[in-house]
Amino acid sequence: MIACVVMDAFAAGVERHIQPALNRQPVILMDYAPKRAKVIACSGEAAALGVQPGITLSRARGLCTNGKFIAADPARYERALDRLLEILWMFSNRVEVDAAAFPQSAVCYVDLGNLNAVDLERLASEMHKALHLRASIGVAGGKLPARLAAFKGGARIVPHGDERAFIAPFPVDCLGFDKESRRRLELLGIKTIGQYADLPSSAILGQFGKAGRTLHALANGWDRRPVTPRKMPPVESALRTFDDPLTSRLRLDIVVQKIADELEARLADRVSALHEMALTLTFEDLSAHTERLHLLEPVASAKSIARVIGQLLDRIPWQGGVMRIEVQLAHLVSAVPRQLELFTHKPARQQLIDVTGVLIERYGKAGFYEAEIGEVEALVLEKRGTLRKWGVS
Amino acid sequence: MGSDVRYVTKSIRAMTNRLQQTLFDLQTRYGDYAIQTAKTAPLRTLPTGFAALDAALSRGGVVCGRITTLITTGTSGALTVGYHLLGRGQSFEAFTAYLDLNNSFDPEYAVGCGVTLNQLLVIRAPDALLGIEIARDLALTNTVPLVLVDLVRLADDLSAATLDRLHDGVIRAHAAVVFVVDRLTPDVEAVSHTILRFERQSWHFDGNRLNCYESRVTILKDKPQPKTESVTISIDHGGSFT
Repeated sequence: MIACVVMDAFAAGVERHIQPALNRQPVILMDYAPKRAKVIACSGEAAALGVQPGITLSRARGLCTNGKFIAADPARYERALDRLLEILWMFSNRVEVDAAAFPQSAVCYVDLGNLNAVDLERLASEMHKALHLRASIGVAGGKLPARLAAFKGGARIVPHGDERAFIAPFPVDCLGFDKESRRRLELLGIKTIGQYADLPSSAILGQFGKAGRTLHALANGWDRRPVTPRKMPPVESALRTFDDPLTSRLRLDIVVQKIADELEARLADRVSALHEMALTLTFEDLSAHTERLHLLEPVASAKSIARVIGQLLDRIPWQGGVMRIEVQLAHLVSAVPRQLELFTHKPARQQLIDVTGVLIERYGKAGFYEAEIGEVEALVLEKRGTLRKWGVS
Repeated sequence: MGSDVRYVTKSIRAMTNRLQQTLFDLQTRYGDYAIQTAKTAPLRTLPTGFAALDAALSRGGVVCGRITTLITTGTSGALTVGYHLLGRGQSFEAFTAYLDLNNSFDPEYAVGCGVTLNQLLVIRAPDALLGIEIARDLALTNTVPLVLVDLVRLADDLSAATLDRLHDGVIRAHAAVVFVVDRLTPDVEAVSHTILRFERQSWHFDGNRLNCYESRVTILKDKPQPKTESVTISIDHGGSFT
């Protein structure tokens, strides 16, 4: 069975989660390229007014006059997609992402093998809890019926053998015909997938060619396209549990050093270095506390790993003895030396935006701003200038 | 035995010659300052913009890759000099950073001191420790030539370990870090390469209107030569100077 997980208006949903004030208005995410600013993604309200990815800024403004136009942050959407994939990988390691639909929608196909209904419900609730976005899930024997089942919203299972009957009432456009084929379908009066499936194979080949024949097979419920799995990002983790809770920081530091030695050896085997670390401590009262750190420069040595774990330990308030310590290394990069650029052509502003992005990830509480002049010679200092968030145009 | 020593000596001499030839080739191609040994590499400086002060400082300004501390006694010109340094650091379209720990940044006055706001990153951290960590990380990235840290009333919050970490980071980087403090603590003094104390001397009025003020700047520490020298600078109402 294949599950299709669809999150409509994915990028807009991510922005709304960060800025809840956007919930009240249509959101349009823009790529402000120097020559031609174009829409990358939009919310459902904007889509209802005719805004779609790829159209220009002026056209989008004409269609949606009260929309909120924001500079898109593709890295942020990729991170959100990674979080979604982390959840989906809990159910199967064969997960495919539909690149054509991203970031307007997140469409993922999950090869579930034989998943029962209970697990399916768990999948839906986990996803909703983790991403705060509404996901619809369709499960069927093939990708097309699963995708169409997901259109219905919620979670829906198409029983094996019922695929043809299920997809028959859907519009024939769902099959993804080209412009010429759509014109022919219109002339022939074929509107649904069922009508297309009823056509004889010989007529299909004559009218729509080989591509039409493939779609005819899909329309008949013969969807044998496999899930092309996305490569899972490499991670490493180390875990220690203690029968007697550790109350001394000194003893914990000794354990940390051993963990660091172990992780160094594992990283050396992979010829990798880590960019991100997460530390989880479980205390006597079974409460768990997790801290993450995104490093500016990748590290691989035991000494550096132990130092980073020490930094994370300093951030966690102690609530009694430690029962369990878990260290997870993520965002692993190759430790093979690379050629440094002698002359970099990256503009200074872009460099600083990249660096600030890393710093914001690291020090979330701090504020990074750029200033602009307000009321000249105002008596109150706050009125003389305003600060706006760094990188927000 | 003797032939072995001769062989090793010959081989080292050949390697040294090859290295010198490579250095010469790179310097011919990319300029004299493209590559040089650590011994000959000079420390870069940022001029303060006050000619008398630059002349009094042994390196002609604030040294990059080191910490400079400006001690203010309230409206004495220390922050003005800091703003001027921010402006000077922005030459060649570079960005500078201002760590506004007291939430007292005045954009209008900064512009008067030559700061281009489009090239300024303003950082507001909830506490001084976090601010210093950010300053260190920012300096280490080598994306900003100068980080100005407003530590007025906050210098006591900083531990020696935090300042040592910053000091180590700044030495590895090429950015100048400038502290503005109201009192000099032993920890801040230990990590500072240059220390300047600003004291306002007099107000100057044009009729009833305040025109400018004069401040005396005392150089308390200026590596490598220990000296105590004072210069007087005059700062007008808009932040410009004479």
